[in-house]
Amino acid sequence: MKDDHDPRPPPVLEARGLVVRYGGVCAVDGVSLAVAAGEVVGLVGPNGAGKSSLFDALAGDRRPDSGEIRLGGTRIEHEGAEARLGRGMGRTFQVPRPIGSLSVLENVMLAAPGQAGEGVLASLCAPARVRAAERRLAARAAELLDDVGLDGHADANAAHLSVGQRKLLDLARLLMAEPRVLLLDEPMAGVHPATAERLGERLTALAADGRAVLFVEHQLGLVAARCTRVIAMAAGRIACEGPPAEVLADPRLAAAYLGRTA
Amino acid sequence: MTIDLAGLLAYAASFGVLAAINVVICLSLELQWGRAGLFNAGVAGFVAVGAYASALLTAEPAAGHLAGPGLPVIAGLAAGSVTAGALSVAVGSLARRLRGDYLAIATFGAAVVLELLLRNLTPLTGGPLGLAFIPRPFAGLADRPLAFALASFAWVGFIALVLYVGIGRLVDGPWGRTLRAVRDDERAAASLGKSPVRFRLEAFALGGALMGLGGALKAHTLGFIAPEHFPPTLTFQVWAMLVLGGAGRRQGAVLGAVLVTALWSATDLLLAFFVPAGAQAQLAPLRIVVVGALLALGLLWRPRGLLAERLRVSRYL
Repeated sequence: MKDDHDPRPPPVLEARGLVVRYGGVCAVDGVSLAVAAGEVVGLVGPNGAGKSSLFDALAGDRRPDSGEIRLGGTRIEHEGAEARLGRGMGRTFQVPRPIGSLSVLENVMLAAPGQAGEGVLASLCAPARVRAAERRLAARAAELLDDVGLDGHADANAAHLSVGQRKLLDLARLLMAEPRVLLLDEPMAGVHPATAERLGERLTALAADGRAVLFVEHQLGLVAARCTRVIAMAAGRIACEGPPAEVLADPRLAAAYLGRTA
Repeated sequence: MTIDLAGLLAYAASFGVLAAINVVICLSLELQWGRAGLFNAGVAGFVAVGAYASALLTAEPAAGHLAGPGLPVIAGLAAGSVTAGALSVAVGSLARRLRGDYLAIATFGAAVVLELLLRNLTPLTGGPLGLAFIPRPFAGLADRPLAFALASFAWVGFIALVLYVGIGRLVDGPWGRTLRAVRDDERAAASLGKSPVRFRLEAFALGGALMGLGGALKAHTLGFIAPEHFPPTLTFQVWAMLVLGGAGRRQGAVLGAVLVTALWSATDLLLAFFVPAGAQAQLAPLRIVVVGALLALGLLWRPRGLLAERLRVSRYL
């Protein structure tokens, strides 16, 4: 199946024959895909095409009814979201989920993996170590907030952010967790166009850094500008897949958006 | 009439002991409910387990029941905490994932079962009569009420203070931050790699252990315990303290505990002074009504408690 001379690095994230059903509705109907390190892959398709359900299955928020998911070659479909993040794959949500009782800065700090102060004993017995770690985390979190354009909101209550700002916070929080594979569910929806442009640059930089990005987006211009590859979904299946220019011009995509099968 | 200053001071110190014990128990519930959103409807049961475990292990062997090896009080306090903590882990694991109503029902059920066991497992618990001759630190001072009350307040107050500081290190740091995330949005927390089950169970076990410690303190200050010291209304009282003071903040738990203890003692005094001896027993339950009314008023005026939860967690920023 795979060309021996394929110059692309092996896929970091691989799914085969994924099926997600809600009662009688088959939201994801046998989807197979692969995302390699260094790729920015856009996932497009009309509402109800199964993009978010696919994300839920990939990220571990919903166990697929059948199919395989591999991360770096290891089968992970039986694992929950927290274990998958531990393996280096994390997500943001279509409807962002800030922790409303925390400040914006602490929302980001929260996501840091392996914090010494998350252990009961370390918190009680080694406050100096926890303090030093907290200072480092706060500095790093401030950097990330700056990156996504939320500088100046660090001390605000996360619940008071606008929808667009919450999207940015979700992204900064995920970046704090340092995943190798990022699943971003409409990261630019509701975000100011100038910030969206910056976010796009950020995605390219992440990929250049050797990470894999899979993101759902409805603004096809952004997809065309930022993606190395595009996957179009319709009615739970992959309708077409390839370079952005090809897929966005493919009549099957237009048909999917217009509710017809090509 | 001369004011007996020594007597007044001794009374204040005894009040302090009672308040400090309630502070310990209320801080434990604050940990479970305020920080982790875990609804414990069986506080009295966890307190009782700590009290009985410590009493049994520190009492001298005696005819008639299985009281134990006569360990030092400090070992009893540790054993009371560990036993109640282990019970919390068991109940918490049974109410899998420790969510909402299930946990409330499980803890309530556990407390009911425990009370029945205390009343009926006579060879171990002494049944309705309970356990007596529980060692009290500084018991040598017992014939000097003021010195004894002050010494008792000193050691119980010291333990409460240590807990206050220790809990602060936990909840005002990364552990407390993650716990809040788990409490507010389990799915978001899991998506960031945090295990909701682990953090909930830690908070529930720690809170349960400290409730047990509170019970053990009660046993070693009273010198005797019986099932009537741990009635279901104790659970209500501790909840009233927390809700009045404000869940989500240690200072709120302390303030609520001191206020409700003061109210309880004040109504006790009023009953003793103004109500004929014959009617006291009938009127005593009215105190619950008074606390309930205060709770209702508090909820109307300050629904989040006298001291509401703050936004910032990390004490290191």
